[in-house]
Amino acid sequence: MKILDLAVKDLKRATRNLFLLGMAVAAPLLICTLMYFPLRRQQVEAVPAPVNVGVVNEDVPPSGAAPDESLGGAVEAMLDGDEVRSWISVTRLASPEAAEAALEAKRIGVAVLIPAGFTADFLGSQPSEPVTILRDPTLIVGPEAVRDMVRSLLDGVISGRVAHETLSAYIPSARLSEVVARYVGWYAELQRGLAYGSQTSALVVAQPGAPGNGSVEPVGTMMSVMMVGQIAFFAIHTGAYFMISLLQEDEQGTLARLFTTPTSRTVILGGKFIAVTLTVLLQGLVLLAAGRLLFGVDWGQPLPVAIALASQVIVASGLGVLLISLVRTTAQAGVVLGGVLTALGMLGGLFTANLTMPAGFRALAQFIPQGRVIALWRAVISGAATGEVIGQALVTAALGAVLFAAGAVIFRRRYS
Amino acid sequence: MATERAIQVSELYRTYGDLIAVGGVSLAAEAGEVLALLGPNGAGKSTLISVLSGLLAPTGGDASIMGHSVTRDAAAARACLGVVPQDIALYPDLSARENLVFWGKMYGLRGRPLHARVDEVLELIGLTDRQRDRVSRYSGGMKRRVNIGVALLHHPPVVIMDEPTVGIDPQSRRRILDSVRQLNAAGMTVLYTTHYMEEAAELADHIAIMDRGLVIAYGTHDELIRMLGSQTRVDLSLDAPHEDLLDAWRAVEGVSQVDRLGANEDAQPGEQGVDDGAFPVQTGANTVTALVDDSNRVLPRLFEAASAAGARITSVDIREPNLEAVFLYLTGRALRD
Ligand SMILES: Nc1ncnc2c1ncn2[C@@H]1O[C@H](COP(=O)(O)OP(=O)(O)O)[C@@H](O)[C@H]1O
Ligand SMILES: [Mg+2]
Repeated sequence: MKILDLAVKDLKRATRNLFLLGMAVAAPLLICTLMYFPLRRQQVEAVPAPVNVGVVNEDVPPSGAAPDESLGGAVEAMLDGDEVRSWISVTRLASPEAAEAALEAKRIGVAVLIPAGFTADFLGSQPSEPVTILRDPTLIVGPEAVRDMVRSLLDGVISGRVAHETLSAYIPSARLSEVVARYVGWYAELQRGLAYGSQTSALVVAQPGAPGNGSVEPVGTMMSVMMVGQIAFFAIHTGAYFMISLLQEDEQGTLARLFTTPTSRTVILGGKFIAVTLTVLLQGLVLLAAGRLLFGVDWGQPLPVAIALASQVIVASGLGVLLISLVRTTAQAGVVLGGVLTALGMLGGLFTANLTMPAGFRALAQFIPQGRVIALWRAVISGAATGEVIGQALVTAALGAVLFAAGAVIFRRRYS
Repeated sequence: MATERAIQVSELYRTYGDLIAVGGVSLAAEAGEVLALLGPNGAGKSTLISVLSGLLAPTGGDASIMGHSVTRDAAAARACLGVVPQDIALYPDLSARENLVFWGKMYGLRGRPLHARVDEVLELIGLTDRQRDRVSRYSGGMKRRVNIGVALLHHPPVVIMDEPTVGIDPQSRRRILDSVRQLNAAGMTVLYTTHYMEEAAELADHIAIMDRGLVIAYGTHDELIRMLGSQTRVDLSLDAPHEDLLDAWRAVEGVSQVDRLGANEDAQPGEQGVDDGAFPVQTGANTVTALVDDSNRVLPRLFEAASAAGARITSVDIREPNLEAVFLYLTGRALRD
């Protein structure tokens, strides 16, 4: 079968293409490896006990306001939120001295010191005394994460302060502190949702609880959450970058030469389409196997895994075919793919985060292959059965088929 | 039909927008002959070949390969044809053998016969020893040989080669010319395009001279040379460009054509022809070529005119009448520019 000979030729060439191999396999594995070691280290410290955070909140709320309307209260509430309770346990301490003693005695791993007058300084736009974080130098990941949370909250607060200075000219002060408090509350929630929600944060998956379930490998679970993102992202890249080989054949004259052989143009294009599909399939299998063997990931039931992989392959090949059908030269392709795939990747990642989005965005997300595939994989690794994923998988595959068909039609026109 | 026409081109046109690349060419090659298509860059040789190999649709006229029309019966025409494109069209990351095996499959060969044929072709192009190396590691000449080998895999009765010797070393050139002879001796019809007149002279049974989209002369080598009559070609080198002198010379009695031989980047085979595999020699920028009736009579007048123009002639070369002189005679231009 000539169509298979063509595809086999392309696969052989793909295995000799260092750039493609790097993109398809080496890059995702490298990224996963980089994530793996910190997680393993963290597991060693986090699994026996969650991070103990000591909070010294000396901040006094503005007169007449409830305690949690102070900025200090907002920080405290964030650290004590439901979302993070599984890995942070908060102890309230009376003074900085008490916090240092607790650190010394290893009763806490990190201390957050909120100075008196923090809110007042903020509202009064005087240079405010910063929040201090003390940490146990032998612990790595936990205190780091706490510091990040506090810092991102304060970043939000600073922009709130700019807003406060601008607005104070127009709005009475008492009313304003309410506005700012609401803003700060919203911002803290956004931060938690984006970075520390139970879906998005790999840290949170290190659930030290569930003692009855001894077979679960926490690092494996964390890795699976991260790897599915990598697998989906790089599958899409591989499909598109593989298809560049068609433009290359056009430029290097082998496509014209193929057209001079007694081989129909439909077969020649078909061979390329089979090749891209097989390449993305092989890449997916290699990454799944690597996840299992290197990082101990349990991907879930075989059938749902196969279904997710199949729809990933179809949508990644389809998008690749369509994108490349829209450009003329390899030089253009590099630029276009760099931009389009990065944008799609970011949107896809954003849509799987736990954020409240405007309805229009939600609708758009349905068409972003990365987002669809990541959501599908997430369901599979959390143990979803075939019946629970088949609908989503079919819709994703149908989207892929539509992209595929559109690209194929454009190529047919170009080379007829 | 007395003899079967291996290639038949009838009133063929091909335009690119306003540009007429091929402007009404009629041409035929008998089965078993070598037909050379000789013409400068841009003459329309590659365009004509693209139409013959089914890559481009003609904008007018038709052509056939072994009686199969390239427009109406394209698949059958392609099956009778091996095409060697002007630019190397191979997979650089595959070895010579892998390339040949793949292309053989595209021509419908399989299994044992395919591998036997690949061995034969590797032998023919002299790359049996290096067959497992990737093509990207080959020299330009070796790549060209593989490029030719691909077109021979399916034993096509007709092979078209588009400038197969451009930019390669003398050894590879020699080998390619020899293999064209061998193929022809084995019965293949060869259409060979070139802008090297020595190659056309050496290989071809018939030569079509092409210029600006038209075939301006056709015949055997000797027939074409006879067009020159008693005219001789002389090349004269000057100490400086002397633009005015060219017009003065054109006015001299007994002079029919004068043109400058521009210093040309394109390789030009040595004077002794291609038999010794001589490598291209560079012509000086101030060399002028002229067609004259009787060099004994005309040369003194050329020297006189040069003196009058204040030019010094640094060398004179009286040439055997050759295809380059024929081209000069027909177009007023030297073939190499
Ligand atoms: N794809 C193209 N588009 C526009 N013009 C072309 C194209 N290919 C060739 N030409 C023009 O057609 C003429 C003949 O070119 P070509 O057939 O390549 O000549 P040759 O092979 O004899 O050097 C040239 O003027 C060339 O610039
Ligand atoms: Mg050409």
